[in-house]
Amino acid sequence: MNKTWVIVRKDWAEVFKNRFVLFTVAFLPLILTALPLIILYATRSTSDLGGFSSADMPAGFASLCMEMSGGECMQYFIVSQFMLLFMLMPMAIPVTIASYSIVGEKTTRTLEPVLATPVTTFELLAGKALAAAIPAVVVTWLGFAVFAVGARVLSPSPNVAARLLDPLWLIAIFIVGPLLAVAAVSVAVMVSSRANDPRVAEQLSMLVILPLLAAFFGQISGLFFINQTLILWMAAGLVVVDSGLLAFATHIFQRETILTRWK
Amino acid sequence: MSAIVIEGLGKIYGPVTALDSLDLHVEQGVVFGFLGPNGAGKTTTLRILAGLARPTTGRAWIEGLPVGPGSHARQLVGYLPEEPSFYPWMRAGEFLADLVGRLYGMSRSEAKARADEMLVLVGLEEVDERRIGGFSRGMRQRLGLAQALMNRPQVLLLDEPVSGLDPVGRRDILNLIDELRGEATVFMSTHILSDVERICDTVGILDYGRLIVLDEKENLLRRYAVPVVEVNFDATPETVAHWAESLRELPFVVNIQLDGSTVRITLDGSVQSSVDLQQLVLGSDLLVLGYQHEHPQLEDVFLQLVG
Repeated sequence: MNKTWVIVRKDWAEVFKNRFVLFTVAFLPLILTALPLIILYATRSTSDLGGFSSADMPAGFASLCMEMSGGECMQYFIVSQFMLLFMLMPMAIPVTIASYSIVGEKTTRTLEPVLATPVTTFELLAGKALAAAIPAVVVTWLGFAVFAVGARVLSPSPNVAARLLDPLWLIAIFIVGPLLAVAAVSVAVMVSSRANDPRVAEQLSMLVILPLLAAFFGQISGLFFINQTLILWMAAGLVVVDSGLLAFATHIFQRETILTRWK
Repeated sequence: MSAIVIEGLGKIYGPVTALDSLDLHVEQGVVFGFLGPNGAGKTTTLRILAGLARPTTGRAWIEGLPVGPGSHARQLVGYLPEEPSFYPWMRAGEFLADLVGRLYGMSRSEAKARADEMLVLVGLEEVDERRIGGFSRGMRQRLGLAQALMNRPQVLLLDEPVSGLDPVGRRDILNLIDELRGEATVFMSTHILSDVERICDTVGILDYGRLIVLDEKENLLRRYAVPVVEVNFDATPETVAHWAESLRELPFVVNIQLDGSTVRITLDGSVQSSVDLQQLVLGSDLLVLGYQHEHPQLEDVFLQLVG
C-alpha cells in the first residue's frame, strides 16, 4: 500500500500542475451541481406545477411519489432527472486524469525508471487508479453536499427536499458513485496501456460514460425510473464488473510493451 | 556463486531474433564489459536481467534468484537505461528521495539521507533543487546512475553509462564505476572500447544475439590482438612506398598501410616475424626516426570479431 501511495502522491503532484486537468476537475462539478439547483429554483416559483396531479406523471414514476402532491411530484420528477448527473461526475473526471497518466508517461518515457524499482504492476496501476478516482469522488461528494444544502433552502416543500436526499440518492452518490469511478479508471487504464496518444486514450476512455448517458435518456423518456431496487442492483452489478475490470486491466498491462513500443 | 547466470536466453520480437541462446556467467565483484554492434541484443539482455522484459526462451538468475517482473531479484539490482528519462517538473533530490527511495521501501528519512549521499557521489549536490527538465544530457546520465545506486544494489546493470557525457563527466563516472569494483558486480554495455579497456575485468562480445567471445580482458587481447609495427622514416613518401612494396611478398606480412613517410605493418603474430621485420627495417638503408611495436587494442579484437 505504501508504494501505491507513493505513486498516488507523484501523480497528484503531476496532474494538478496541468491547468486543463484542474479545469476539468473543477468546472464539471460546478456545472452539474448548479443545474439541478437552478431547476429546483426555477420550478419553485412556477405556480403551474400546483395544478399537476400524480395522474399526470409517467405511470412508473407516480408510484415513487407516494404522499407527495401533484406539484411536488412533478418537481421531484424534473429535478431527479438531473440527479443522475451526480453519477456522471465520478466517471467523467477520472477518465481525463487516468487516460493521461499512463499514455503521458509512455510518450515522455518516464515509466522505465519507475518500472525498474520493485513496484508491482498491481501497485503501480492501483496508484494511478486511486490518483484519478479519489479527486473525482471527493468533488462529487462535495458537489452533492452543496446540492443538499441548496435543496433544503430552495425547495418549496420539505417533502421534495426529503425525497431528493433520501436513501435512494445517498446510496447512488456515496456507494454507486465510487463504484462507477473505479469502473471508469479501470477502462481508462486499460485503454491508456494500449494507446500511444493521450488524446486518443481520453476519447476512447470517455466511451465508458455511454451506459450512464443511456440511463439518463432512458429515464427522461420514461423507459424506466431509478428506484432503490434498481440502484441496489446497480451497486451489486458494479462490484462484479469492477472486480473483473481491475483484474483484466492488471492482466493486459505489459511492462515490456510499454517500454519497447512507445512512440 | 556467480552474480549473474544466463542459460539459453532467447528473445524474439516478431520477425527479429534479438537474442539467440545466450549463455553467460559473470562472477561476483567484477566489472563486466558487454560489447556488441548496434542491434546485437545488449539492451534486450539488460532489460531481461532488470526484470523489465521476459525472455522467449531460457532463464537468468541474479545472485541465485530467477529474474522476472515479480522476482525478488529486482531488489538486488540497480538499472541505468540507455536514455534515462525523468519527470521534468521534479527536482533531483525529490525524485531520488520521494519517489525512487520510497519505491524501494525506504523510510522517508532513510530515503532523504541516501538521496543526498547519491547526489554528492555523482556530483549533482549543487543542483538538487533544480528541476530535472533543465538538466543537460550528462546531468541526466549522472542522475540515472544515482537512481541505479539508490538501493545499494549487489548487481549494477548499466546500459551505455557514459554516452552523452563530456570528457570530464566520462572520467568521473568511470572512476565511480571503478570504485564499485568488489562492492557490486557491474554489468555494463558500451560502444566505447577504450572505456572497457580501462575499467573492465571481463569482456563478452555479442553479435546477432549470440555471444561470440567471453574471456578476461588480458586473455582476449593476447588471443585476438594483431601485432602491428609502425615505422617512421626520414625519407620521401615515394622511397618509403618503394621499400614497403618489397615487403608485400613476405609470408609473415599480413597488411601494409602507408601514410606519407610512415608505414604500418601488420604481422602474422609469430615471434620470429617481429625479429625478421626488425632486421629488414635496419637493412633498408633509410634513416629510422621511430619504430613502435604497438600494444594490441580491444578495438582490433572487436573489429576482427564483428567487423
